[in-house]
Amino acid sequence: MDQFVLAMSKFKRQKYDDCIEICTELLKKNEYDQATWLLKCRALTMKNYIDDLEIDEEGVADILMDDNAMATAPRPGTSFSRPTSSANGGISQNVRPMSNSGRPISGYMRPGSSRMGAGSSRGQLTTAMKANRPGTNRAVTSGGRMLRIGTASMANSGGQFIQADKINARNTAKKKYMAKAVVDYLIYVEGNFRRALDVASEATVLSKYEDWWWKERIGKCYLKLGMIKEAERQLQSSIKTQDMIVTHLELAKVSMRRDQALKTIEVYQSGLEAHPFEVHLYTGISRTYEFINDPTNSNKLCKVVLNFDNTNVEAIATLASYHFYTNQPEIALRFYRRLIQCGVNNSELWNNVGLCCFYASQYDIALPCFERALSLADDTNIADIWYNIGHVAIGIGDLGLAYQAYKIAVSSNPQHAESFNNLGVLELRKGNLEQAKANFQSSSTLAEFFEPCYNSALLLWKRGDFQESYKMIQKSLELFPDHIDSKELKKNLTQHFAAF
Amino acid sequence: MSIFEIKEWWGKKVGEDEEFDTNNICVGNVNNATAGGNKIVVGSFQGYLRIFEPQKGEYKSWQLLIEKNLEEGILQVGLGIYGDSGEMLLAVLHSRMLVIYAVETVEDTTQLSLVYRHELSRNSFNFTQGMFGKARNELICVQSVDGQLTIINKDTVQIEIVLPDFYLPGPLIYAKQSDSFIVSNTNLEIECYRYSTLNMQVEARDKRTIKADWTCNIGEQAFHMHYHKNKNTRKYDIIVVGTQTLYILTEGAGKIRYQRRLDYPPSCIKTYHLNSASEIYRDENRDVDQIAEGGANSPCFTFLLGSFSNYILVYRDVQLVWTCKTSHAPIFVDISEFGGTEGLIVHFADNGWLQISYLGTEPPKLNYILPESKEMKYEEMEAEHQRLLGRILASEQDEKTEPDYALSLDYELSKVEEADEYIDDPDNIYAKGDSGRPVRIKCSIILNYDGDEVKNLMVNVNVPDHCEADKTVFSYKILNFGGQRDFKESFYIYARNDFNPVSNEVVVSASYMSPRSTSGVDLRTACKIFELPMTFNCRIIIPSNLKDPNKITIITDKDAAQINSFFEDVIEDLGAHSICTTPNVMSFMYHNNTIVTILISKNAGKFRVQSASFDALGYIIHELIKRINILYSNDVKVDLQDSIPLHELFTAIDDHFELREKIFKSKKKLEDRSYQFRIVEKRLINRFKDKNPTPLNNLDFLLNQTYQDMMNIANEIIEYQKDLKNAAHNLSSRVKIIQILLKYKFDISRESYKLLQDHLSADIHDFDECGWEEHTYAAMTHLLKTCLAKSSKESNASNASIKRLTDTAKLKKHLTIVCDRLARGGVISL
Repeated sequence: MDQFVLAMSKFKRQKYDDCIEICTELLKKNEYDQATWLLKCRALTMKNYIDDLEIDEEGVADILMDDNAMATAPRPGTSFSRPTSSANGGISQNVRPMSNSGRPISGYMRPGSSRMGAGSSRGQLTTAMKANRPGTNRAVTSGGRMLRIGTASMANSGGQFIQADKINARNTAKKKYMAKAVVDYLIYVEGNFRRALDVASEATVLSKYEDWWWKERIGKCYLKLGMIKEAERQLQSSIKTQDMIVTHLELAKVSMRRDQALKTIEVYQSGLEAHPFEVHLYTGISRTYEFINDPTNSNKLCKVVLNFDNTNVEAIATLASYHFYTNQPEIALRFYRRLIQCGVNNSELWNNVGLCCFYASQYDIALPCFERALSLADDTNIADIWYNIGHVAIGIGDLGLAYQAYKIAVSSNPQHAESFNNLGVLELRKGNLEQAKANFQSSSTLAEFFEPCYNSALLLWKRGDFQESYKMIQKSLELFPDHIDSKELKKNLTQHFAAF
Repeated sequence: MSIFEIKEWWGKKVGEDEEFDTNNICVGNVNNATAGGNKIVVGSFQGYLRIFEPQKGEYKSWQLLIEKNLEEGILQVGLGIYGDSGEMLLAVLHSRMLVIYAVETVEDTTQLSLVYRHELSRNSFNFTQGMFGKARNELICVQSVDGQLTIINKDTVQIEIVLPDFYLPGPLIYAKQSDSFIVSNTNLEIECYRYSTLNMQVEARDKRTIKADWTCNIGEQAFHMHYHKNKNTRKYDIIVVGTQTLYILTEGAGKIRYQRRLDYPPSCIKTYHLNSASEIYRDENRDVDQIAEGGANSPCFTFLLGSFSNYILVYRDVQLVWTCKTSHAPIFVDISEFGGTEGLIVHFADNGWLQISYLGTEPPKLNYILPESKEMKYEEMEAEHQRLLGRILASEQDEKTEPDYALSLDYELSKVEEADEYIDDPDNIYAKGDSGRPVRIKCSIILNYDGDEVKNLMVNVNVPDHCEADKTVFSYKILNFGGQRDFKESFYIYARNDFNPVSNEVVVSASYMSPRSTSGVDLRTACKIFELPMTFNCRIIIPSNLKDPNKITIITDKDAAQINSFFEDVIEDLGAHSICTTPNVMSFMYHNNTIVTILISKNAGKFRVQSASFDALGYIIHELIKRINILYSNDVKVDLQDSIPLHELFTAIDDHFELREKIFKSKKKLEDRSYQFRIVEKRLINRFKDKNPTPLNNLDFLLNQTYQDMMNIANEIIEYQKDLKNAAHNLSSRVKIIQILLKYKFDISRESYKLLQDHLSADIHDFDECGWEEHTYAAMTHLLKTCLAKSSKESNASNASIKRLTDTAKLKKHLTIVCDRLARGGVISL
C-alpha cells in the first residue's frame, strides 16, 4: 500500500489528523516531496477550516471603531444598527423582548445577531468585555474567531508549518499549483490576512486577472483587514469573471459591514438571478430582513427556504418564534414539533415547546416539556428555563411556585434581569415595597429592556418620589420610545412638576 | 434521534479493522449468473476481496460468495466487459498491478480465475473504464499518483502519457459523448483531455505538454465526479462534488451549469432518474418543456448525497425531499435492485459497515421519555408538595434549628517576645525590640468540637493593619476530633513599624461542614474576636514633652486617681516601674515612634490624652476608656469636654478623596491615550496597506510618544495607589476616633453604637466608582432621612442608587448635620 495514497484517501474521508501524521512521516523521509507537502498543507487547512461565510464575528475593536457605516443617520428601515426604527411593522417590543439597540433577545441565535449596536452599554471599552456570566465569555478579539483557532491548532501540529513572514510573495505566486493551498493556509490556519493578500495579489496579476478565485480571496482578505471598498471592487470583478455563489455571499457581507441593509438584499437578489434556487442566498435575505425587524418579508423567505430545504433548522425556528410572538402558539408548536422530528433535542427547544403548549392551553403537556428541558439544561440556560416556568406558574395562578422559580433563576444566574423584574412584581403583590424596589433596581441596571424601568418608575411615582420616578421613566422611554404607558406616566409627572 | 431514520433491509460489517474508500466497492452481476441478481464486491486496503449476495433479513454466512486475501492492498474494484466474451469481468487495482478476474459460480462454490494481469510502472491511484475511441469492449484508464494515464486494452498497454503540473491525484472519469477523460488538477480546476488528443500526441511522439480541451475553475478541491446521462435534458452532465459545493458541468464546454452550496461536508453522491416524470421542480416561472429543451439551470435529476455528519439526503431537482440519519458516515451510496426489490439504497462506511436500506420513519423512541416520569398518585404528589412547601416556609421564617454539635473557637496569647530565630524582613517593616529582632506574639487558636469530625474546615485569621501574621489560613479536608475534644493551631503575629494602631482586634473565623445527626451536612461558621495586649502595640517611656498640639480630654464623675492604677498590668509586663514614677503623667510610644501622653488632673477624674499626631490618639483613648470602665466596674460616667474634632476628619477625607480623584483622572487620561494609540495604529496600518503609501507625517513619532505617555500615566497610577493606601489608613484611624468620641460625648447606647459603626465605617474599601466617600454619603443621607429626620415629613427612605461624588462638600455637610442631630439627642435605630 502506497502511504501517499493512503494519506490522500484519509484526507478525502476527513481524517485530517491521520493524514497529517502520515504526511509528516513521509516528509521526514523526503523533505522535498512537493505532493506530500501540498497534501499536508491542505489537510492542515481543512482541519482548521471554518465556514467564514457563516461565522463572521467582528472583534470588539472593530465594532468600537466602526467607521464603515455609509450613513450616520440612516433612514428608518435601512440600517442594522437601528432596527427599532423599522417602518415595516415589526413585532412590538411590548410582545417580544428586545435589547436597547432593538435586536430581539429571543429567537434563533445567528452569527452576528449578538452584535452590539450603537449606544449599547457594550459599546464602551470599560463594559465591552463583560459577558453574561463573568469569566465564561471573552469578547472576540480582532481578527475574529479565525485568529484564535489558528493559535490553538499551532500547538497540535508541532510548530509552524509555513513561516508566514519568510514567504516571498512573488515566488510563491509563481508556483501556480502551490499558491492556492498556501493562501488558504495563511487565511484559515494562520489568520495572517496580510501575507495572504500579498501572495494573492501577485497571483492574480500572474493569472492576468482571469481567475475568479484569486479575486475572491483578495476580497476576503481586504474585508478582514477592514478595507471595505477594495474588497467590494475585487468581489464584483470576481463575479464578472465567473459567477459563483460564494462570491455573492462574500459581497453581501461587505454591504452588511457598511450597514446598508437594502444593498445587502440587492446583492443577494442579483445572486439569485444567476442561481435561482440557492438556499444560502434566500437565507441571507431572510436574515437581513430579520435584522432590520421586518418579519413579514423574512418569513416569506423562510418559507421559500423550506420549500427547497425542508430540514433547515434556522428557517423552521424563525417561523416558529414569529408565530409564537404573533399569538399563534398552536402554529408555532407545529414548527417546533417538526424540529423535534428532525432530531433536534436540546433544552431550548423543549422549553419553547413547553411555552407553546402552555399558551395553547395544553397544560398537561407543558410541564413535562419543562421537566425535559430542565433535565437537558446546563449552566448557560437553566436560568432562562426557570424563568419561563415562573411565567407558567403566574399563568396558572400559583404565585408561590412562580416566586420559587424566579428565585432559582437568579440563584443560578445572578445577572438574570428578567427574573429580577418579575420577582419585583411578585414582591409588590406581597406588599414588600422595599424588596420590590430593590429588585426593579437591580433588574434595570442589569438589563437593556424597558420593563423594570417602567415598573420602578410607576412604583416610585405611587410612593411620591417624583424625581427618581422621572429619571426611571426617561430611561424606559430611551429604551422603548413608543411605550404608551411610559409616555402617559411621563405626562403625569410633567404635570405634577408644573403644578409645583 | 430523528424520526427520519434509515430502515435496514440487510446489513453486514465487513472485515475487522479494515479500511475502505469510495472506490473499493461496486455493485453488479459479477458472476454473470443467469438468474441475474446484483452482488456487492468489496475490496479493502488490507487486501481482502469479498463478494456478497444479499437477501432480505439477517446476514447469513452463505451470502458471502467468496472471501480471498489477495496479499496486496486493493485500491479500486470495477466491473466491466473488458474482454471479447461479452461477459462481466472484475478488475482489481493494486498499487503496482491491475488484475482482471472472471468470477464463476458452479454449484454454490464461487471461484476467481485470473484472466490477465498488468504490472504497472508507477504507483497507481485509481482507474476509470469505458469504450474509449469507440472500441467494442471496455478499456481501462489507470491514473497514477504522479499523474500518468495508462490506457489498457485487454492485455496490452495502449497509451502511457503524463499529465502536466500534476501533484495531487483526484477523481477521474470518462465522458462517453465527447470521448474524453476528466480529471481534477491541483489548481482547484477540472480539466478535460480528449482521448483522440492523447492518442495523437503519443503516436506523433510529441514531447510538448499536452493541452486540456477545457478547464473549469471551481475553486474547491474536487472529491467525487460522476458522469450522468440526463433523461430530461437529453444531455450528459458532469457532476462534481467539492468540499462544500455541488457543481454540474456541461460536457461540451465545461461550463458550470448549476451549483449548490451545501450546509454539511458531502461524502458521496449518487445520481439517478425516477421512473415517473415528475422530477423537475415546478413553480409559476418554470416551463418544464422549455427546461428539457436546453438551458437548464437546475439539475433535472434526482440524487442522493451522503454527508460526514451521518446523513443521507435525497434531492429531487432543486428540492430536498428526504433526510435520514445513518449510524455511520457513508462514503459510498448507490441505488440498486436486490431480491426483486428495486430502488434499495446501498451505503457503505469506511470502517466496513455495509448496509442496504430503504427510507422510512421511526416513531420517537422511548428515550425521549424521562425515566422518572412514571405514573404518580395524586395524594403522594400532594403530600410531597406539602412537605416541600413546609420546608421552604420553615427556611424562609428563619427558624433554623441549631445542629447538635457546634465548633467553638478559643484563643491563647503568649507574652510579647522578640523573635529568637532569623526572620526575613527585606522591606524592613517589622518593629524591632531592644535586641534588634522583630517583636512578635505567639497566638494559638483552639478549636473545640463535641462531635466526631468536621469536613472542609477553613480557618481565616484577619489581623489589623499595623501587624502581620505569618500564617493567615488554615484548612483541613477532614478534621477528626474523635478522642481529644480540642485541637490547637499556632501562629505568630509581628508588629509593623509603619502604622499607628487603629483597630486592635484580631478576627478569627472558621467555616466548616458539620454532619447532621440524620443525614447530610450543614455549612456552619464560627467566629472569635480578641484584642492584642497593649504591650504588643506600644512601650512606656519617660514623659518628656507635655505640650502636644492634639489633645482630647475625658471627664469622669469619679475622683482623681493615679495613672499607674489603670495600667498596672502593662507596667508589670514591661517591667517599667522605674519609669512610671510620676503619678499623673504617662507616655506611650508606638512602634512607629509616635508618642502619646496621658495626663491626669490632680483634683478631679479628668484625663487628657495628647500626641503630636492626631491619628495616634485613637488607640490610647480606646484603651484608657476600657481600663477606666474596668477599674470602676462599669459604674462610671465618661464624658468629653472638647467638641467633636470634625476638622481633622475632613482633612483626612479631603486627602483621601483627592488621591482617588487623581487616580480617576489618570485612568481617564490613560483611556484617552490608549484610544489615541489605537487610532494612530489604525491610521498607520492603513498607510502601510496602501499600494502607494503617502508619507507618514510623523505618525510614527506620535505613536511612540503616545506609548510613552501611556507608560508614564500607568506608573503614576501605581504611585497614587500606594499613597491611597496610606491615606485610607489615616482616614480609618480618624473615623475610629470620631466613633469613640461620638459614643461618649452623646452617650450612645451599645446597639446604636453598633449601627453607627456600620454607617460611619472605619473599614475602607476603594473602587473607582464607589469608594468610602460614596458609601458614607449614602449612609449619612439615609440616616438623615430615617431615624435622624427632623420631622416625619422628611423621613422618606428611598434607596437612590449610589453615584460617584464630584466633591466632598456635601458629604462634610451631612456628617456635620448628623453630629448635630446626635448632639440634640437623636438616636440611631433601625
